[in-house]
Amino acid sequence: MISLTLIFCYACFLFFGAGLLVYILFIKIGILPKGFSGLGPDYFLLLGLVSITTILAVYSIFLPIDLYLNLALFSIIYTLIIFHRETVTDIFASYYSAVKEHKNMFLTAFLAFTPLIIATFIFSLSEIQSFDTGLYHAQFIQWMEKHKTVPGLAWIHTRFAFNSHFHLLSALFSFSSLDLKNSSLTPLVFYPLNSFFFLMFAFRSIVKIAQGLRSRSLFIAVQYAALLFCSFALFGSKLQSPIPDSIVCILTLYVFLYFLEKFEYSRSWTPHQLIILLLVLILPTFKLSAGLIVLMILPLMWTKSLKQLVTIGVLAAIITIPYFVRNTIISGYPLYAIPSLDLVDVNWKIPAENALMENDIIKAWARIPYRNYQEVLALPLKEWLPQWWEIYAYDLIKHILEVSLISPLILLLVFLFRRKERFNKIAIIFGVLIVNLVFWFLSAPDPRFAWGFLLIMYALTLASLAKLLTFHRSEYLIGVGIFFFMYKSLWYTSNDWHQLLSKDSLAEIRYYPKQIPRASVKLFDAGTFPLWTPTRDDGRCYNAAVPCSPAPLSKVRMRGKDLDAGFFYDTKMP
Amino acid sequence: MRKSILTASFLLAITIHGNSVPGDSAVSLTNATNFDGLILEEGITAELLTNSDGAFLKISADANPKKTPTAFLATVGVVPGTSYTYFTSARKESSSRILHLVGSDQGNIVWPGAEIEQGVARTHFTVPDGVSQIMLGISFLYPEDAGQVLIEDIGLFEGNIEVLPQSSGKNHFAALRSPKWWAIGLFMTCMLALVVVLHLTYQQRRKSKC
Repeated sequence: MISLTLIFCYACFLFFGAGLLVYILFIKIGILPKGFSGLGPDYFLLLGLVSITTILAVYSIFLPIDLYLNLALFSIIYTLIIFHRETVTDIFASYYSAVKEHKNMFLTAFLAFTPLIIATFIFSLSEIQSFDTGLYHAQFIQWMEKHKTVPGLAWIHTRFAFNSHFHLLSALFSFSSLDLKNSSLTPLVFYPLNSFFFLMFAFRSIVKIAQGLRSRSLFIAVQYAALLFCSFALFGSKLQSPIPDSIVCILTLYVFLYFLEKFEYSRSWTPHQLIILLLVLILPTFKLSAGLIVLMILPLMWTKSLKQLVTIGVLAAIITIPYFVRNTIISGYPLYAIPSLDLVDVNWKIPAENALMENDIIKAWARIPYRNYQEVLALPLKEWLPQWWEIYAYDLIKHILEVSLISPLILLLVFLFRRKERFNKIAIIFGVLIVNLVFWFLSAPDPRFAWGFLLIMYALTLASLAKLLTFHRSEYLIGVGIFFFMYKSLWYTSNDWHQLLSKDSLAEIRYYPKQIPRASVKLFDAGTFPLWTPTRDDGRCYNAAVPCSPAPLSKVRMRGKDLDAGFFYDTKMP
Repeated sequence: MRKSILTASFLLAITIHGNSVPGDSAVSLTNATNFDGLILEEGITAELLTNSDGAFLKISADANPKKTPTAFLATVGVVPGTSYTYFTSARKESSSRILHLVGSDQGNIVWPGAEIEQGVARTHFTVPDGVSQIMLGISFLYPEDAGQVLIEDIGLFEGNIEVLPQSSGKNHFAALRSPKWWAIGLFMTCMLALVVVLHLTYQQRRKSKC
């Protein structure tokens, strides 16, 4: 608990500081107007997230993301914050006066939501719940911490080729280079970012729910309540794992919420236009399945001049080119697993048929898991759809999917009965959501790949319904409903509580989060370099020293004398 | 092979010398002068391998159900009558049992010691009178099949140490590397200074506005 709180403070400083400095830079180069009014702390944190990820993406091509980088970033941001201390104090003073003005509302809201905040903290400290973290997240993060981007790294584990830039951030915040240890001498590794950004979103939601109920804006209250409780129920118990799905969901929600609440069709840049653009650009580098969210740039481009379109192009290049370069270094392709986009001829390239097979396996798993992928892909829609529904559509997800299916009808009702200024924006959002969900359904329809899209569609539908059904004093009924659903969402995660209730767990998490299990690995030295492989057949290396591969690699060779030189597949080897 | 073993001996020597614990409760091994390196009994081979955490030592034993082949990893000077804790961080890849052994020229001081499985094993012992030099080792207990153990790290500390203390020395192995408390201290000090600076700036701006 203590170490995680300190890390949250550090993350807050780094992201907020970087966001603020980048914002000042945008003012200085004339993109943004002067002034900071109407920008919440989460705005700067998100801007910081985009900026630091971009810096890491470029830096990691040449050097590992280690303690020295942490110190360098900290020093630079610290110095510049001191330099701009008057601006910082003005911003904090404005936050302070806003809280002071509505202190009773803030106090009541945060007291009421205390169980959810405590539950979030406890899940952040608990044992890793995601299978994929043991399979490849922890290993990939470790590679980023200890090595520059390694050519042919995908030969060690093909999942590394997906190259989520969220794992670059996770490497910066893992703090393994601090060499801290727990009581059983296990070196401590932290994965705090999903929890940090979820708490950020939770704070925004709590404030918005309270403001919504107070001002009888039930649309806002219901929308944020649905988003907060459903996201907590879906991935609250996995917050301690560095899974990109959670952060992608949170950022996707921000894109749509900022668009709905703050977006203005203006010729000049506004702060929220900029953050929407940056989030939309960074999201595909976190998870390629969120790629079609770039459609949200279209309304932005509508009013922009040619010069401003060039600015969009430059920002897009700064954010995405390092991603393509890193992808090419890791797998040989700018976008994995899309082998048709083949730009460079390198000896570490994954064969196109392997990449296509990987794509097919993921697609098939998302339709019907634990079955031969070729059989699944050969099934017609009418055969795999009922099985898919049975497997994935349970409990909350079933409810969300059902509501999403009727959402166009609700939208139509809202259009007929309540023509408001928001309708245009909601229609655009629904358009983008439908394109994204159709793409998701036809490619890899595992609900976690589309949490953000499903949740926003669900929340908007519920909020529109609430608006339709508004009657005198209905805010009290909605308020009671919100608290009922908060406890229901907490109860939804009750299956994961058992791990937290043991005395040992509580004693341990007082100081630091529960650690990723130690892998049982053996040395495979029949190849051309020492390689660890798991002793169990689940393929999980956890955080064992790299290189660790799910299976022995007898034909993979090092390209040079050390791991930095990379790997390739030697077809000439017997 | 000889070169590898010499390098391993050197690295382990650094490990032991580097893990000195300053302060009243721990002995400093920094000035140890009688390090002799790796001693391997018959049927034991050693090889130095490297990965991202640095070097580690692979010790292999042939099948020999009638013996307890031993590898002494390091020889260090000690103070008679003083208690010490011997740590290893290792991964076992053998069906036979592998145990700590602390020897001296006057016979074994600890046998059998802690059993090595996965991770850290610790053995606490007191050096008998008249012994000024000990050998830290591991023994394969009547190995029925050939097997191996991967030694990531060893360390020796004065006193009965339950949990490895923070050491100030440098080490290339993860399990016994010194925590970088200075980085956390630096962060907290800087944050405190920042809060003070921002508060003073706030006061100053309020005054100037008034």
